[in-house]
Amino acid sequence: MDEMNITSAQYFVFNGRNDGIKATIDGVEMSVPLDPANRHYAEILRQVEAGVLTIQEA
Amino acid sequence: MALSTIQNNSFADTAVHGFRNIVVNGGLIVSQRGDYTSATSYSGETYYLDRWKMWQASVSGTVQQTTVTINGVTKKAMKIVATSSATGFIGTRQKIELQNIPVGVNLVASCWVRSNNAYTRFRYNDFGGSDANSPVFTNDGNWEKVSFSIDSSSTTVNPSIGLITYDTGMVSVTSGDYIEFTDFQLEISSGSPTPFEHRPYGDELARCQRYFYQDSTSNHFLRSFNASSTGDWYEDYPLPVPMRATPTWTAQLGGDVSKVNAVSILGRTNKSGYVIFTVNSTGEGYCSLNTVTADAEL
Repeated sequence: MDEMNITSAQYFVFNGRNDGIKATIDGVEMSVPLDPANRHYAEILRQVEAGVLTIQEA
Repeated sequence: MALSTIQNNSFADTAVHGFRNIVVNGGLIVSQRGDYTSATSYSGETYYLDRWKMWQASVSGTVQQTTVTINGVTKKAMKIVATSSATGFIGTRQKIELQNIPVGVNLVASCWVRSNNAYTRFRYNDFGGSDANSPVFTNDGNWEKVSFSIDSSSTTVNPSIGLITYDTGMVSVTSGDYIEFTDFQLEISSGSPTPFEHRPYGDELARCQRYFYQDSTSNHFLRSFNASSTGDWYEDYPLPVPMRATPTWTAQLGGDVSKVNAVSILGRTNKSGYVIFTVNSTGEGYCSLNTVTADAEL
């Protein structure tokens, strides 16, 4: 099982565009890039698709 | 060496060449995330020693970087010990980038291992689109050199290889059961494994930093400034080696700062991140960081 415990996720905006996601994963605040090859971003997308996580707007 | 002493068999495909171990940190010498020389309680699917991910179900336990002597040679190893009893499994594995697998060749995994659980063995996932176990090892508590042949044909996603107490499903694991291993190698071979390829620490560290980087410096000085207004300031944070993908960053504001009350790092590329620190008062000040991590693991 590869699931991470993601308790918050919010877009970070730089120069008027979404530049990443500030997320709390397994109790640690992380800056997650919008790169599908990044395992944290891939898991965020998976949990959003599964309906268990919502990414808040900046 | 005189050219006349270089024999043709030195160039043959059967000769033992360098750069043959596909596994990173197979000698368990790199431990960027922390000092695990004492037994440390593990969490599932978590990295401790670089590149080795815990592989467990239903069983609590510890992970430790140990020092062992095998046939008179002292080396680092990794030991996983169950501290509860359950039907489950304990183990560890390494995920490998597909681009590092020459799909279509035969591979051989090998390592030194000792265990006291009857079901300890190699197990791989996603080679040739399937998962498989090796036969069980002797598992009598003594060191043994073991190997396992793997056909890489039709591998289409990042596969993994590791050691686990497993059968066709979960098995009985008793508190005190352990797996300890070192010299883990995965190489192209249709026959027996070659001797473990020892690599210098600096070389192995750089390979690990393709996947994870940590700077544990306290109050790592970032920069000074002279702010005419409050707000966010930005500073480049280069990585020592290009990472596998754009990493996830964590950072902590150092204790030795002036007029700064928040910090974070974001990244757009696999080569650097940018630090954002919030200046809360005008005038001259400075910013430092505590532990910084960049994670591009598989």
